[in-house]
Amino acid sequence: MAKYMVDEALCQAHGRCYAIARSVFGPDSDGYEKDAGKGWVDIPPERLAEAREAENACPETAIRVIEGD
Amino acid sequence: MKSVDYETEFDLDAPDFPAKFDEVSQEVLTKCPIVQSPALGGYKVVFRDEDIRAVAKDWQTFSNRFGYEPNRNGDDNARLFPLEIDPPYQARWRSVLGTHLGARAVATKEPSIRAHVNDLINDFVGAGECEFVEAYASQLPGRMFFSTFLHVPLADLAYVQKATDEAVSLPIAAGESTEEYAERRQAGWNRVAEYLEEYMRKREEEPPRGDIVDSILQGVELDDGEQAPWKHKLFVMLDVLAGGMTTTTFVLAGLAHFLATHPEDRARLAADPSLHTNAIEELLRYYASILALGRTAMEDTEVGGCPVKKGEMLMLAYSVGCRDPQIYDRPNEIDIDRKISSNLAFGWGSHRCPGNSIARLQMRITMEELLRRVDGLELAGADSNQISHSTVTRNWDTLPVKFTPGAVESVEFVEEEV
Ligand code: HEM
Ligand code: SF4
Repeated sequence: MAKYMVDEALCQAHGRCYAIARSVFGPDSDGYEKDAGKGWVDIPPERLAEAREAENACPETAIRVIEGD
Repeated sequence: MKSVDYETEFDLDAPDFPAKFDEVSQEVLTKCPIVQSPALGGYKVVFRDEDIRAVAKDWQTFSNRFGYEPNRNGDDNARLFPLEIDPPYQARWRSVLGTHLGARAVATKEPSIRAHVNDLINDFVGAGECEFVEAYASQLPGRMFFSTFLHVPLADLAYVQKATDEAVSLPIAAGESTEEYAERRQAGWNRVAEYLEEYMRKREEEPPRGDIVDSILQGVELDDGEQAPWKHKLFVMLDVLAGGMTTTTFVLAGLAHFLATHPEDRARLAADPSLHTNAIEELLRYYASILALGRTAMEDTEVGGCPVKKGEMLMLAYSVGCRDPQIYDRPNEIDIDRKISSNLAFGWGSHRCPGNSIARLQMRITMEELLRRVDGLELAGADSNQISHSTVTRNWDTLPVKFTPGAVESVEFVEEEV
């Protein structure tokens, strides 16, 4: 399955990712992406395109999406 | 440099490049997206924002394994990790650093950094003049690393600071050969490595404190599932130190230079702190401290329409990309209201600077305290020859300033929960 990872050193809580892909990304209580620093997280195949869009929109390149195992 | 043929003679270390940085960067950005330099055994330089981001993002085609600058063969004892490794191994070290260097973790360091800022200001504020690099800009990053993060005595600092300078930011001396220069820098690296190794051995014997050192000592897995060797842990410590010294010194000096030369902006910032965050992004762009950093092409490919051969080293000129007229209107001017959607000064892609939050915090506190405590800041010398280049970094060598003498304040160093 495809996966994403959010680099905790880079996330600045801009919120673009969860504005674009609400079904994949979301804010924690301080507005940082909720999975920042938590390693690889699975993305259901039907959400992959959205996740890629958010990856490309993050102004810090904090999001990395990989496909395959 | 104006007269050089960029296609054949461009050299990141050319002695007159720093003084002509504004015009040379505009010239290369508009005329030649990529140049081949004959210096240091030969490398290519990528200038445009778009090309830099494309290369930096594609780690499969452009590897960091062969060193961050020309002539690093990779079997020395002072490499920099995660800078000189590729994902997925690199990403595991990034997670370790993120826990301690991310914006949220760094916010807890604010009281300690502010105490150091005010302690350093105390040392010069009464005199009405100082050399700002020596008195402040080169001091704060070392204090941040050794005191705020490692809790080591400040007495050790001068020695490591000098060795770090020799490793990272020492410019090539007149008449020195490329080999002699490389040897001198390597000797600096070896001294820094020795110091940090001794510190880490000591920490390994002590009960854990849950800080960044413990996390690095705990380590991560190599790509084959084995535990990362001791040496790699040392290379990570070295990177966290080296990555944050000259780079932050440069922007802190840039900040003081800006305040001393832009009295109107200075008055606006003093009156309205809500302008600070945006102004700091602009200062990071304008005084981008990484001149260029290397990637090695893993296959024959193309960058910005120019052919690149397998094995060639590309230097990504982040500092020049930060002046790209395709992205920025009046790129050589500081406009504190400019909206920067994504700051290239910290790089791009998998190696983008994990220390960015600490750098931004040091900038913010420095701006606040200089505005509060140091009135009437002005340059005290000629506004020239302050900057040198050493392949990778832009170095602020000297910045004499004068100001209205101010009062010493009492500073309390907060004992951190460790
Ligand atoms: C204004 C100050 C700073 C600037 C302009 C800056 C710039 C950069 C840039 C451009 C890179 C990307 C390297 C590449 O693409 O090859 C980088 C990487 C790095 N920086 Fe910074 N940096 C600054 C401060 C810091 C600080 C304070 C630290 C440490 C706390 C730090 C630690 C690192 C490390 C460890 C890397 C390597 C990351 C990796 O390869 O994954 N930097 N920095
Ligand atoms: S867009 Fe990027 S920086 Fe902003 S919250 Fe999402 S991951 Fe973090």
